[in-house]
Amino acid sequence: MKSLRLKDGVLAGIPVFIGYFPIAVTFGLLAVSVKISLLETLSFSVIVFAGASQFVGLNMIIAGIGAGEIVLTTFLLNFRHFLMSASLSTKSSFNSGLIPFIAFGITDETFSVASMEKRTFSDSYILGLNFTAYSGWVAGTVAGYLAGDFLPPVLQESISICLYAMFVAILIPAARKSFRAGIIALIAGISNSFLEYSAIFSSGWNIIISILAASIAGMVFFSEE
Amino acid sequence: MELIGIIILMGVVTYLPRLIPMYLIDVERIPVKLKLFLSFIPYAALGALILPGSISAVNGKPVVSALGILSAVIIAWFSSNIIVTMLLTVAATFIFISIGFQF
Repeated sequence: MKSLRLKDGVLAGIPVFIGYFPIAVTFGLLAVSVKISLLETLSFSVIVFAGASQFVGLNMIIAGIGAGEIVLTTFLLNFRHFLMSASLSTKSSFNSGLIPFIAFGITDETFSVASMEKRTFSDSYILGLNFTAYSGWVAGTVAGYLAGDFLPPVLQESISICLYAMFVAILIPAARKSFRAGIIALIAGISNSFLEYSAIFSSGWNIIISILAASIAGMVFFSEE
Repeated sequence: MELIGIIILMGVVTYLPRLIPMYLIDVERIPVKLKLFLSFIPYAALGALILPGSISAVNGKPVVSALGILSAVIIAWFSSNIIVTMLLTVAATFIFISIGFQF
């Protein structure tokens, strides 16, 4: 069977590009409204490349919260990628020289797309996927900063559901094929909802705990397929 | 601290958790149980990413958000094309807002 290559990766990245662009536009808009420079705004998206934590980080900066707390919050919020990166490592033997570049582009969305891919893929597939996603994020940030509010309000509101629709679009077909996949997702979703509602820990912890709990439950109750 | 310094530190603490596992895990020599555990992470992550966040997807309108996500589930049940599901869900959500759902 032919292994997926660069072109397949770029194509697989298009939904992520579409999902990222409008959210990055919102980030650009927020950056303009809090009066940070284009270069600083761009640095956020180019260097950090992590949706929610950029919004949270920028809001904390504006609120005058100290650097230590901002960095710690970012770390917790993004630590879930540790689990995703570990999981993705079992899918393919990546070239160790390319790992620094592959790892940089691991986000909730690129991870979801790559890990649900049943065919084998090359390093260039994942680089293509990540780069397409990255360009959507960076381009959207610049567009939002420079072009401002160019989307009609109702459309802007509707578009905010885009990434969730993408997660659903990836999960549902997988859950249809595998009962256990659906059960594990449900356990994690219920656990995360409960933890968010109880507000004992921060969101970063909640998502990590939920992913761990559901995956451990899976490991205990299901054997290898 | 300068803003750019904070941004760089945010980048570092985001990058390291993405990077380190890739060097730690040797696919050839990983215990079966751990591999099984890691194979469930994508589904667990998707579940935790969808719930409860999707219910507040459209700011201040949980009913619209819930209807939108429900539409996504129904569409994804019949179509395995990611882009189709995304675009139809945005269209459905657009309609829910346009016909006057305020919440």
